[in-house]
Amino acid sequence: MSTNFDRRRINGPEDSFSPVLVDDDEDETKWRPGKPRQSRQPQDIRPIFLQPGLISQANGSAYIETERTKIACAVYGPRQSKNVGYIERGRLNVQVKFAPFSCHKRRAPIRDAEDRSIAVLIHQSLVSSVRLELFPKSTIDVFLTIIENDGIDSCVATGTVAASTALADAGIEMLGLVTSCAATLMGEEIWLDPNHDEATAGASTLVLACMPALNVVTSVWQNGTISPKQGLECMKACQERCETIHSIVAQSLVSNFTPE
Amino acid sequence: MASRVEILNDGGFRSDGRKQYELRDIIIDLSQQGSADGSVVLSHGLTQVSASVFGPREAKMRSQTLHDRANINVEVTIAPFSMGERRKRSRNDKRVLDFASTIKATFEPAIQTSLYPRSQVDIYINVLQQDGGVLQACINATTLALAAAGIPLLDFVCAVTGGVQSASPLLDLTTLEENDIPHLTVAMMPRTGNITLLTMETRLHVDRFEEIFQLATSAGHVLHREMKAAIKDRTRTLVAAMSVAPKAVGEKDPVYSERMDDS
Amino acid sequence: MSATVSLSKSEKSYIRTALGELSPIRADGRSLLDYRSIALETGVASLANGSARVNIGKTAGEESGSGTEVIAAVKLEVEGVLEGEGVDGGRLMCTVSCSPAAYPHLSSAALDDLSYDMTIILNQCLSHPSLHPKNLVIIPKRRSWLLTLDVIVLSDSGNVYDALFLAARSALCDTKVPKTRSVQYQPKSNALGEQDVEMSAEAPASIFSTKEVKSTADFELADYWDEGEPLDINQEWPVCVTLNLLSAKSLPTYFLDATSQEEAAIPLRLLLLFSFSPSGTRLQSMRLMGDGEIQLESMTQLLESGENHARKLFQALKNKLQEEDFRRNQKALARFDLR
Repeated sequence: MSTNFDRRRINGPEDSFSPVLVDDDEDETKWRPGKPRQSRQPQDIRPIFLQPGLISQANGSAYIETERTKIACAVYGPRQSKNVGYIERGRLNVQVKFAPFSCHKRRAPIRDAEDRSIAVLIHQSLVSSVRLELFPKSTIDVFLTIIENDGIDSCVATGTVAASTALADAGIEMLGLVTSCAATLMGEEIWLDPNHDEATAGASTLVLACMPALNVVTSVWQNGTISPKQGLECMKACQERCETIHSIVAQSLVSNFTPE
Repeated sequence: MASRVEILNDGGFRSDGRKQYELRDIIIDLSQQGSADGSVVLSHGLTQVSASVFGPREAKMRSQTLHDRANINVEVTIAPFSMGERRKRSRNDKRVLDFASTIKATFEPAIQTSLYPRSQVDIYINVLQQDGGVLQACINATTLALAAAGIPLLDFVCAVTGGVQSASPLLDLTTLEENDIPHLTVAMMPRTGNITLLTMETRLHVDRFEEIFQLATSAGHVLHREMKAAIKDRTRTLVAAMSVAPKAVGEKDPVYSERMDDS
Repeated sequence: MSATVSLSKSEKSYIRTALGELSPIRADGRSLLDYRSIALETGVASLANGSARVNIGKTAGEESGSGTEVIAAVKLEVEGVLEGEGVDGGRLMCTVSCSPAAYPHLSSAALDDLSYDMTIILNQCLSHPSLHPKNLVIIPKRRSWLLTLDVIVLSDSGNVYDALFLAARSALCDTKVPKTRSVQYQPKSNALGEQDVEMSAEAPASIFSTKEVKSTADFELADYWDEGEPLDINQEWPVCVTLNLLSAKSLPTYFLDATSQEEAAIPLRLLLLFSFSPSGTRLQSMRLMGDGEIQLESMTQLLESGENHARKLFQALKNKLQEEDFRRNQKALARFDLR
C-alpha cells in the first residue's frame, strides 16, 4: 500500500470509513445472476452516444457513452518521437487512465496494471488499422480517460470504438474503422455487450475487434471457460454486431464533418 | 539451552552434519544460458544463484559510459520463492541495490576495466534459493561467469562466510547459523592474497576476528581450486567441441590436453 | 508486446519466404508443426509448495543456444478473511518476472512492461473464477490460503508463453496443500475444577464436534507422514498453444514453437489455452497478438487444429508429470532405505 502513495497529491485522511451503503438485496428490480436479461434481448447492445471532436486542443477526439460506460479519447500526432533512434514505422502509443471517481471504490490516480492491460488490448485492436508505414520517426498518441467504468470488457470494446473514431477525426490514414463488441456466456445463451454485473456473472467473456469494411478481425480476447464451438458462435455474434456499430461510427463522423 | 537446534554439538558436528571447517557441496554448472557471453549456475549446498555476464558492450544508457574504462553494471534479482516466507522485492528495493553495489565494488579492482574504455560489462544475478551465504555465492558465481565470458580478470575472487559459535569458528554458514551467530564474509584474490571485500553486520569480539579471518582466507584457496578446475573443465569441452568437431567425440588432442594440465 | 529481437527487413523476408515455401524450411530443420525438445523437472525449489522448471529447446551436450527457460514456484500463505485482503475460499495470484539476462537489449522500463504483460496474461487466465480450486479454505469465513505463483523467465529464445503455462501447470500440479484441522479453546463446562480451559481438536469421535465446527477459532497443521493433498482441480489447469500465423487469409497456415527470430519475422500470433477435463474440452483463454489481421472464417480451422495440438501437449505433459512424481517418490524411498 505504501508504494502506491503519492505525496504530491492531497490524499484522504489516514483513518477513513467506507460509507454505509444501503443494502439493496430487497430491490426486486435489480438484475441478479440467473435472471433473464432486463430491458433488452441477449443479442442487443446498449444504446451508443458517440460525439467526435469534443476536445478542441487535440488533433482528433471522441466521446463515447453506452449507458454507464463513459470514455473520452484524444489523439495527438503524428508528432516526432522523442528519445528514440530512427524508426521506419510510426509508433502507436495508447494510454488508458481511470478517473479517480470512475469506479465504486476511489481509484488512486497512479498507473497500475489494469490501465496497462486495457491499453495493450486497445493497441492490439487498432494497430493493424493505422497506416503506420506512412509516419516514419513519429508517434501517434492515443489517450483514453475512463470517466465511468462498467466492466473491463466493456471498457476495452467501447474504448476501441472511441479511439478509432478519434483517429479518423484526426485525419490519420487508416485502412478501415475498427469497431469492437464484447460478449459473455450466460448459461447457454450469448449476451452481447454485457455490463459489469453480467460480465462477472457469466462463465466466460470475449471481446472481438474487427474492421467490418475489410471483413477482417484485428483482436480477439477471451477469458473464462467456454467450449470451442460456443467460442466461435460468440465471435460470429460479435462480428455481426460490429457491423451495426460501424454504421453508427460512420454516421457520427459524417454528421460531424463540416466542409470548410 | 537456548535453542532446540544446537549450532555445534558436543561431538563437534553442526546442525547439518558438517564439521567445524567443512564447506558445503559446491556445484558449478557453466553451460550456456540464453544469449549470455558467460553464465553459471552455482550452488553452495541449498543456496543457489545464477549469474550471466554480457559484454563488454555498448552501454544501454549513454550517460553511464566512462571515458577511460569500462563501467560495471550489476543487477540482482531475488526470486520471491527463494526464502521461507514469500517476499517480492522490486528492482529498486534499497537492500537489493545495496547488495548489487557491494558486488560491484568487489569486482572493480579485479576486472581490468581500463582495457575497454566507453563500454559496459553487465552482470545479472538471479538468487534462486537462499540458505545462508548468499553474498558469497553471488561473488563466486560472478567470478565464474566473468571468466566464462572471457573478460580479463587480474585474479579470481573467492568469497567465504565465517562465523564464531562461542569460541569455535565455523565456515560456510547456513541460514540457521547466520541467524544465530556473528558472521562475516571475506572475498579474497588467491594469487596475491588481497582482500577485495570484508563485510560484517553483526558484533564480533576483536580477539576472535583474526582467527576467523585467517580461516576464511585459507578456505578461499580451497574454493579457488574448485572454481579453477571447473573453468578448465569447461574450456576443455569447448575446445574439444571446436577442434575435434569432424573427428569422433571423446577423442582428445594430446598436445592440447597436456598444455591445459600444465597451467 | 515488443519484439525481443530486432531483425532487418531482409532477414525477416528471408525467414518468411522460407516458411512460406511449399516445402517449408526452418533454420533448425524442423517441420512447421514440430516442437523443439522440452525438458521438465518438478520440485526444483525446495522452499516452495510446488515448483517446476521448463526448458524448450536446450539440446543436451550441444553448445549452440540454450532454449527458453522458465521456473515456476507456488507458495501458500495463510490469510485472514476478516482482516486484510483475504477472500473467503482463498485467492490465487500470479506474477511473472523477466530476468534482465533473458532480454539483454531491453531497458529496465521495457523489461518491467514486458513482465507486466506476461503477468496479466497468466493472471487473467489462471485466477479466473472458473478455475478456482476448492481446497484453499482453512476455516470457512475466517482463514484461507493465498496461493502465489511466481514465474521467472531465465532466458527466452522464443515461444515463451507455451513455456510459461507449461511451467505454471506443472508447478500447480506439484503443489501440496498442507493438511490442517480446526482447533479452539473451550471453557470446560463440567465441574472438574482448576483447569478451566482445554484445547480440543476437531476429531470425529468428539461429541462436541458438530458444535465446534461453526465456532472454530484457529487451526493447526496436522502431522502426517506426507506433505499434504494436491489442489482439487489439477486436471483442469490449461496448456497453451501458440499458433504463429503465416498468412491469415482464407487458408490459414501456421507453425508451432517459433524461435525468437521467427517470432520477430511474423506479424500475428494466436494464443490458445485449452483444458481437458473429464467433462470435455474447454477453451480457457484466447488472445490475438501482433499487428496483423485474420478472417473470422479461418478461426474455425485454427481452433480445431489448436485443440489437437493442445491435446497432444497435454497428454505428453501428463505422462511426464507422472514420471516425475514417480522419480521423486522413488528417490525419496531410496534415500529412506539408506538410513
